[in-house]
Formats: sequence, C-alpha cells, structure tokens
Amino acid sequence: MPYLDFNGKKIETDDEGYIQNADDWSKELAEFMAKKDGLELTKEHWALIDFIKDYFAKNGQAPSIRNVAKKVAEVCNLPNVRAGNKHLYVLFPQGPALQLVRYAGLSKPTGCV
Amino acid sequence: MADYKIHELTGKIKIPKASPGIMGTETVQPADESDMKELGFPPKLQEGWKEKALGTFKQLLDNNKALKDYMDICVRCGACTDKCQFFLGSGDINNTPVGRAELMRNVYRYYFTTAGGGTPFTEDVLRKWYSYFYQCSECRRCARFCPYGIDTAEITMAAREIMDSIGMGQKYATHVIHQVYWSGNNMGTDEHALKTVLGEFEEDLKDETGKDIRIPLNEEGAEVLLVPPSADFFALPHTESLLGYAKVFHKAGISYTISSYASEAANFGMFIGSYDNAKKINKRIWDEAKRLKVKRVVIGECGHAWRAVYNYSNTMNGPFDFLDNRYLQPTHICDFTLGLIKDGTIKVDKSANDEFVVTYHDPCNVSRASRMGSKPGDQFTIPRDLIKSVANHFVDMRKGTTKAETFCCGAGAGLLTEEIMQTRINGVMPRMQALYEVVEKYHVNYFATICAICKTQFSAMFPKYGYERDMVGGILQLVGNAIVF
Repeated sequence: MPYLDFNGKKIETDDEGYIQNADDWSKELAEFMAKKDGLELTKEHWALIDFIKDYFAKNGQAPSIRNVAKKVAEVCNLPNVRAGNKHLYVLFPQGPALQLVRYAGLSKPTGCV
Repeated sequence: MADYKIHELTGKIKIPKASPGIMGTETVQPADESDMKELGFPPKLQEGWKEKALGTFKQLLDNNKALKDYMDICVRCGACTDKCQFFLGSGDINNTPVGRAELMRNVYRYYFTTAGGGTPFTEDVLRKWYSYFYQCSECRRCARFCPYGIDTAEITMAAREIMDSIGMGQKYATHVIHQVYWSGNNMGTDEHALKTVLGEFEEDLKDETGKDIRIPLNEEGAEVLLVPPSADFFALPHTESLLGYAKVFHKAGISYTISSYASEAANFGMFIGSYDNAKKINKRIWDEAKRLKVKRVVIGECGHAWRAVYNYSNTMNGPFDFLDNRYLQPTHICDFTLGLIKDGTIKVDKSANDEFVVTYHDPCNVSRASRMGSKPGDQFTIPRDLIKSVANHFVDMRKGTTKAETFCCGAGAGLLTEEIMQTRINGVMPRMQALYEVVEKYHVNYFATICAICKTQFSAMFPKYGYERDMVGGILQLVGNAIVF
C-alpha cells in the first residue's frame, strides 16, 4: 500500500493519494496534502472542505458538483452556479474530484465524472 | 502535475511523423483484486497465464466468426492508418488501427494458423497488449473506412476479454462495474443518497422556475422509466441536462420515474469486452422497467449506453414485449423531446439561447454504433434538429469530422482516467482542430454533446487547449433554458 509520510506517521493511501482510513484525517493532514500540490489553503478552501465533510457525514456521499458550485457562489459572492463552478477551478486547479475531495479525506468519485 | 504535450491549434489535422513505441510506457492502473473477483475474473496475473489466455483466445475464435474473419482478412492496405485520433495525436504506429490489431494478429498467426509466422505470446507482448489495447476507445472510426469492414473495436474488446480472463484487468472500468452491482450505478450512489440529491435538484428547479417540478424515484406505475447516466446526478455540466429532462416531463405532463436499482444507463461491461457483465448490467434496466410497470423506457444523454440498451437489450435479455406496443424499443431523450416540441406540447423561446453559437459533437457510439428515430441517419438529424428548435445559432464542424465520420472525444471505453492523460490529450486533438475552425470563423461558444464521457473529457481538455470549460454542455441543457413556463 502506498502511504503519506506525515509528522513521523505513515498514512495509508490508495494509488492516487486518497486516504484509506477516515480516522487518519486532520486539518494538518489536509494542509500537508495541499502543500504537496503547491496550494495554500485559504478561508474559502476551508469553507468548501468543511461543507463536503459535513455533507458526507449526513448523507454518506459527497455532494453534487452543482451543490458545491452553489456553495462557492455563496462563499465567494458570485452570481450563480456557472460562476461558482468557474471559481471552483480557481480554488482547486486540478478540479474538485482530484483535490477538494482528496483533501477532505473522502474517496475519489468514480464513473463518467 | 506532469508535463503534457499539448498540440498547437491551427485547424489542420496533419498526419504525424511516425514515432514507433512513443506511447509504450503509458499504461492504465491495474484492477483491484476485489473488483476482479466480483466480476468473475482471476484477481491477478498467475502462473500458467499463457495457456489460459490462448484458451480464451481459442474460445473467442470458435464462438465469434467475425473475430476470426477480422484476424484473417486484413490486407494491410493502410486505409485505416490515419483515421485513428490516437495515432494522429501520437504518431505511434501501434496506435494505428492496423498496428494495434497486429499485436493480436501476430499471436493469432503463431498459434492458430497453419501458415504460422507471427510471434509467441511472451510477457513483453502481453505488456504491449495491456498498454495499447487501453489506448483505443472502441469508437469504430477506423471501421468506417476499412474496405473489408473490419471492426477494430471488436478486436480491442476481444483482447481485453482475453486479458480479463488471466487477471489483467483495468482498475477504472472494473471498479465502476463493481459499483453498479452493489449500488445500481457507476458512482456508488445508494437509494438514500440519490433521493437526497434529486430533492436538492427539485429545490433548484423551484428557485429557478417557481414551479414544483418533480424528479421522482422508484415510483411504480409511472408511464416512463428514465435512465440517465449517473454522472447526471453529480457532475457539471451533466446535471444541467438532468434538470432539462425534468422540465420536459413536467411540461409534457408525462409521469416518469428514475430507478435507484437501474440508476445507470452506462454499461462498462461492453468496454471490457465482457458479454456476461454487459448482460448483467443491461438486465437491471430490463428488470426495473418490468417491476415498475412502466410503458416506456427513455435513455438520457449517454453515448455507449444508447448503444447497449437500444442495440443489445433484445439479444441479451429478451424483447421489451411488456412495454406499450408503440414503444417496444427504448427511446432516446432527444427523439422523445423533439417530438414534443414539434407537436406543440412543449413551447419554447429560442431567444433564451441567443448568447450561444452552438456546435454539435456526435458521440461515436450514437453516430457509428447505433441509430435513432425511424429513418436511417436520424441519429445525426434528431440531435441537430433539436438544437435548432431551441437555439437560433447553430453551425456544424467541418465535414469529415462529424456524423458517421465523427472523431472520438479521446476518452471512451474506459480511457476516462487520469493515469493515461497524455493518451486523452492526443485523442482529443483532431476534434479540437475542427472546433478551432468554427470558433475562429463563427465564434462558437457552446459545444453540445449527448454523452457523459464526452462531456467530462471535453470539460477537462478545453482548458488545456485554451478554451473555457463551460463551453461544454448537453442538448437538454439548451432545451431547459428555452422551455417557457
């Protein structure tokens, strides 16, 4: 199994860097993963990470990208879903599935997405 | 992020200089053992794989006369060589349809012909199979140009089936199929999560239109079973078309339901060449249509799903003879919607889409592997007529890149996965060149298509080629914009 070397601990991940045990997740780990991608997490990033973590806890699944884009629009004062979606990729340049979901400690969405 | 080679956009599709083996290191992620077991395959490559592989190969040759012909009849005329987007984008000879098929024909000649020749099935040959048969999107563009009618997609499917049988599966496709078996869809969205998501979309529709537009789930006795690709529940721009379907049903006053058990139109069983898995996935739709007592099955915007359901349901799981006898075949959402607009049931305001200059990308599986409507060629005219019925500005891309000669998006048949990104970038290149022309000439700013894989692939590729991600959208998204409430 691949792993992340984090604070002297070995955190198990899958081949693409998504953590395998939800208990391993911490804010520091999320920041660590983002830094490895060259990304500094801001207040806006955190609003979204918290949002999808809460949603997952309630529904057992990550929210739809439409729902995330609405949240971006709300957090960043943008007029609509379309603008929210655009800004989502400014915040997470590799996209929500590859970055936002991974930093939140959830598994990668599969299928035609 | 890795450095990828992005092709320059000039509008021209040039035949590249041959670079043999340049894509040889590009390989998909091997399947997880648990997914392989669930699909009925050995979990991983084991001792004695060669005999096992040759056994499967022989079985396929015995059972599939077409495959045997495809092995025998190629005359190396070269008509296919410059027709594959993966060759055009890479220059690798193994990415020409004949070059790719030759990897298999060599093994065929060595073991199964009296004349002999060819090469023994070594580990190195197997490694090449694994690499290059997962750089083919089974789009059948090459088959369109083969004077002998060889369908190279069938060769790819057979090669993948042989590899499945010895434990050499692909992670992406096998995992997706496993998800379908426990959740009903590729995403692994269970009934509870699906209900929540659909409820959110109903609220969004209320906010937008002020109307109570429903997206019902598991409602017995509805007239229509709607089967969208599950990406429509999750991704953008896909969900915008789902909202479009909901508006169409609402305005037409036709009751419908989505099923959680059959909440997936896609059929990845076809991609990996597994008849058994394709049949099992297909049966879920068939069973749900029966259980929910619907009169009609309508399929959403998904390319290969349309092929799987429309072409294969009958032979795989028997006729849909329990449906209303006017609708014994499933109906495509575009066909369904165009009929309702034409007969005046749904009123539209075309000016709602005036900000868009629209072009249309024919998904390979809709255009070359299936049909639609009642006349030959309706799979080309219905989507275009539907766009023109809801938008004032439409232009087609260059002849030779559309309809039956459409280029693939570069990510079909299990290629929509990150580890083979350069293959996807290569494969999309010809389509991007054709798009470049209409953007320069006509300022196209809406790229419509009716396939979930195409939408995701283009949304990821457009920014790499310098275009906005949100130019990509569905046709039912345009319909949704134009419906008058």
